[in-house]
Amino acid sequence: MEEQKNTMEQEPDMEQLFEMLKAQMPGSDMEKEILVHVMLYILSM
Amino acid sequence: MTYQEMHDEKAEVIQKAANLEATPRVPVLSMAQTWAVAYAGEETEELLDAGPEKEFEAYAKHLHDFYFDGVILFGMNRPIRAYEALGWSPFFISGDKISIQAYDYSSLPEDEIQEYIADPFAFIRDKMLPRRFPNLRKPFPQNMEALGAFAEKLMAFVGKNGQAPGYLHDNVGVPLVAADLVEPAFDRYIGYRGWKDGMIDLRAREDEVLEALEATYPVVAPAPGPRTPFPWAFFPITSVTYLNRKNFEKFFWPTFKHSADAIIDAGGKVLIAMEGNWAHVYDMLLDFPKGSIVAFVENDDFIQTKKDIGSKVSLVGGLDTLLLRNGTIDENIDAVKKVLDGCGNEVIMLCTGKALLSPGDVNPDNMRAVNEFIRDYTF
Repeated sequence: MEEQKNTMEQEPDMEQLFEMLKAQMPGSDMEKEILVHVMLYILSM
Repeated sequence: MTYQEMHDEKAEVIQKAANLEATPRVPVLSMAQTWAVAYAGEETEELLDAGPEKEFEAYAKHLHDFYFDGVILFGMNRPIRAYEALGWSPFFISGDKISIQAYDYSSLPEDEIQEYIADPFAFIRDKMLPRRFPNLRKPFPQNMEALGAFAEKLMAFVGKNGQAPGYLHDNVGVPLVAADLVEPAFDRYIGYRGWKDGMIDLRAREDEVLEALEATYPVVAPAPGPRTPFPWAFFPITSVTYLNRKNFEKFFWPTFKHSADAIIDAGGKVLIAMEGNWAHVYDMLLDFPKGSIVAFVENDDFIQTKKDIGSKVSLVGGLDTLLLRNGTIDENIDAVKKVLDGCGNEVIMLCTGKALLSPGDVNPDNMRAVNEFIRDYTF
């Protein structure tokens, strides 16, 4: 994560945070997309 | 009979009722939610951290102590600890230390509705979430750590829920009838706007609301893929009782029909919680294929509802929650006998008309007597 921070010229936005989260998660691309969808659904309840 | 055999026999009876067939007995279902926590002598706050086994044991106690053929929901259904990783939860535990309530607030201002319509997922991610959750406004990497903690706790919560049907099958002998929760686009949009502003929108910006509802559909659309006829997809619906028929047809129905059709086309059945009163609109459910809808009746007259829509729709409900709380055993038996004699042993499943949330919601002695009476009633 420190490495990721150093490569950022500025604070990451929400889209970048979700991309970083996907990169950290196990599973296929489709599983990661589904999890992000579920997260947005649950977080916006 | 083993728990597994009991489970399978009960599931078969429930499916017959949902298929509008005659049943050897009228199934009785549990709509106990956090009431079950209080009945087990626990408190919700403690149970949130107790782990799946202890949580399931608490929720199962009433299913062991009283006769039930099925349970609609089982276990905590809000990931409160996951939300808390982000510094705030839209759900909170009430003063009774048992029931869980939701905040009503607006997270979609009037002047941003068009931006939401253009890309609802980007709007939710980029605007709504940082406004809601303080830990997402923290500098990197704290915001990233909070998001990661949320994801981890959410996956644990989803994993816990996934164990519930197997737990009930192996340890309780009572089937779970709701496979997943699905939300109508209308209820979600009203939630985003806040109840008061959302309802004003129906008059003030009719076309914009219709666009926003279409935009909301992908956010709440049921998960794709094949389904089985049992257990069912569950729509708890709070909004319809506040809509007249014209607004129901215009705003609620199109996206709801789309969702329900998707589930039915995939081989599933839909359980609709008709919260409040639906007599002014429930004939619309006759548009769905025969036997594809199970309607949970809250305030509408149960016997009349069966006469009106029971030719195509199976029904859950018919037990007077207030009478179960305050009446005598004899008064409750008289009331349930009227329902059984008025409806017969097909199409219906009996259940409290309201979800049981707080410690005193029903008198356990009444529940025990009524459920055993239903189980043993012969037609």
